[in-house]
Amino acid sequence: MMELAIANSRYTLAAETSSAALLPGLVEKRALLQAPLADYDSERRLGRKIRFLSDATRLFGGTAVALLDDERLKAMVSASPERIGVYTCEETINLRDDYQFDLCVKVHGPDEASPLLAPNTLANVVGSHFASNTGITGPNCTIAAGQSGGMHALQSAMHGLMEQAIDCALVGGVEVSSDYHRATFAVQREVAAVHAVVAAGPADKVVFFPPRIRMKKDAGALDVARAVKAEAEARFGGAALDAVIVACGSKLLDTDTLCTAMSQYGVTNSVLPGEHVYGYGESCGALLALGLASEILQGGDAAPVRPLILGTQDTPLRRLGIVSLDEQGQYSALVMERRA
Amino acid sequence: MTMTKKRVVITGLGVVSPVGSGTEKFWNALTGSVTGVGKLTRLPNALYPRDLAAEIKDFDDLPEALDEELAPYGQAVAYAVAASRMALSDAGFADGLADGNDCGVLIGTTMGNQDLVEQVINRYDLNESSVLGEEQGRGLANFGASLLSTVVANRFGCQGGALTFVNACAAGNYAVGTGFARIRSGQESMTLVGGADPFSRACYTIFHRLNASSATDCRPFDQNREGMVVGEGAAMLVLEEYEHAVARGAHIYAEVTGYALTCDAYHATAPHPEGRGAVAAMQRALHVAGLEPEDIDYVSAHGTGTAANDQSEAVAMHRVFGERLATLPVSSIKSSLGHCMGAASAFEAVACALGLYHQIAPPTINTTDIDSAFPIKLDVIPGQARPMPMRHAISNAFAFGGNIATVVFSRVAPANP
Repeated sequence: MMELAIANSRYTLAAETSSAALLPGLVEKRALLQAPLADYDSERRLGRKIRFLSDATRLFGGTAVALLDDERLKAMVSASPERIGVYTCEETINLRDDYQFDLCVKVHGPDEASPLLAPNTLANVVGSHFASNTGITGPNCTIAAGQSGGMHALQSAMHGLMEQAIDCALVGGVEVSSDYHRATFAVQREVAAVHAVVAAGPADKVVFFPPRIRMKKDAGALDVARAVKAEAEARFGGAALDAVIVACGSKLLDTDTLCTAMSQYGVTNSVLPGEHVYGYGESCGALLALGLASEILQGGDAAPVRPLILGTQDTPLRRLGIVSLDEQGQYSALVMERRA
Repeated sequence: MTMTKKRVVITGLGVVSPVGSGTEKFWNALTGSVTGVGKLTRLPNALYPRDLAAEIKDFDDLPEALDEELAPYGQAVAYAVAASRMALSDAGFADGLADGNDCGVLIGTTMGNQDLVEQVINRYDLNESSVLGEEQGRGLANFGASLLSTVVANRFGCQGGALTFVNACAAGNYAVGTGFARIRSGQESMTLVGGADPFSRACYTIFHRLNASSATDCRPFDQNREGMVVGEGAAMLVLEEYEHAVARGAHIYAEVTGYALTCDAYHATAPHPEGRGAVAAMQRALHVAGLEPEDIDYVSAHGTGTAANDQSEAVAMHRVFGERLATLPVSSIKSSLGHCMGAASAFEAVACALGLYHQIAPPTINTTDIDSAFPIKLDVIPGQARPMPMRHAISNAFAFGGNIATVVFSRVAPANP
């Protein structure tokens, strides 16, 4: 199974300006993550014709276009746009657009509904608009899988890379909120995260493996522990991990049971509930966890998150696992390491 | 790095369609040139001058119509569950899947659970000054499109990963192609794939406002075509690793041999006029299948019946197949089924599987005069199904945003007695 690496990343959350790094100030910004963004494209990355674009299209598009400031990525897109894939996860980004469009039809009649707003009722407008903006003509997938969306986006990207249909996968996700979301769902985070994922080469210091994703109606901590154990065995010959990040589902998982099980399996006894770092959301958790883990393994300052680790907090971090569990019983695990 | 390449075959089919639910009824209707298009009944006709629709007429005859467990979910979930039940039963899994299975679920959709939004707006008679309260919010709790695949997975005990592709009108092929990729790579031995979409006021109005809907039937590639007809439904297929299927004595319809995903990167709703993404998808899908254009015996077209799509698609097919296109049968079953959104290319996958199995190509109905603006005159199998030798078929699906998915299907020779 192939090793993957992150060539670069971009995030927009809490503050309106996108950034290449997640860790710096993240814990301090956590309280701001649930506040709506005032401007979804504050850097004006999408040009002037944005009036009819949905919030999610602007948020994701602005973030992803900023990612292409990276000279290597820019050159790849310029040279072979058909060999760049876009894999986006979302879950309810079109709720407000769908509601407002249909309400207009009901109240004023079908002839009053704006055709310019019609594309916003479809979730794939986010990835498609980004492709139109940048000329990227490779695979363009929009995935709805709830809190497992990020893992599925990574897995789908892996197939494109493995089949050599693409050389680089832009794997991202977007979450937006609105009055309709707030009336319906508990979480309100607004965020966009995008990673440029490539097949790992000899120069890549940090590598990760495609996720293992499974499903069982009453899945719990033991299932998750077994999954990450299986991944550690498959990739590292059973060697222990230094910590596991729970990307999402920490409210569903009994973390004590998870810690105990993983410890008994010889996996690790250190668990970091990622949602204590970047808040609760609906689809981007795994991508945020991947970014967090990658920065830590690259040598980033993990001091702000160490106090949040349950179990042993001072282990040198060289091998990490990322796990998730969602409300439908879908659970996943991936492992990554800093090469010696 | 060497990639495992396992063979992927189709061992189960299930449909909930405007021409009837159940594979036999579906295939008999298609090959009998039956139309599923009629007058719109779900919305006030007076508001829509072009008031045709391809509605599901027999869902109340299915057990899922009375299933209280499905009541909180959108209609597409119920359609997907019904079609999945049929497909799994057809594949020999009527009693469900064994614990520890690795069966994934991939479903494509355009509108997802949009009908829940419509229900809330109607039920509470909401207007633009209405504030959504807790009760209305509860009505939207199952809006997420992921539920189409996860409800199916939990219902039937599928323990591989489940996801929904929300890639609009190409989403069914996204599911089929990705299911093929997952089995081919060895990730899974079985995947339940397909598409599902509900009828909704929003969807019907979108195409009305884009002036894309027809007042007089769907006539793909016709000189006088006026547009598409909005439909609904679900189609599901069981994809299985070949050796796994043979070992358990499964009935095999056909094989999935190639796929490709591309993007026009051109416009939010219009296809690239030269079919740039479509050409790339067909060429890549053929490459993955190890085939040349001359190996294809039948094309299942996207063929919506709109001016833009059919022109773009004709140009793209000509660029791939050249002058041979004049004698290469091309049909669009949207002429019979209407455009069932995310389910459309899943219906087309079922039709390709059955066509290869029975060696019969379904017709394009309603089309009489091929558009003279096309680079070449197409053979659309007009009016009547055609018995013909068919080794390989290619199925195209194009969506808003320029999302494109193409899948190649091949005949599996019958086992020696």
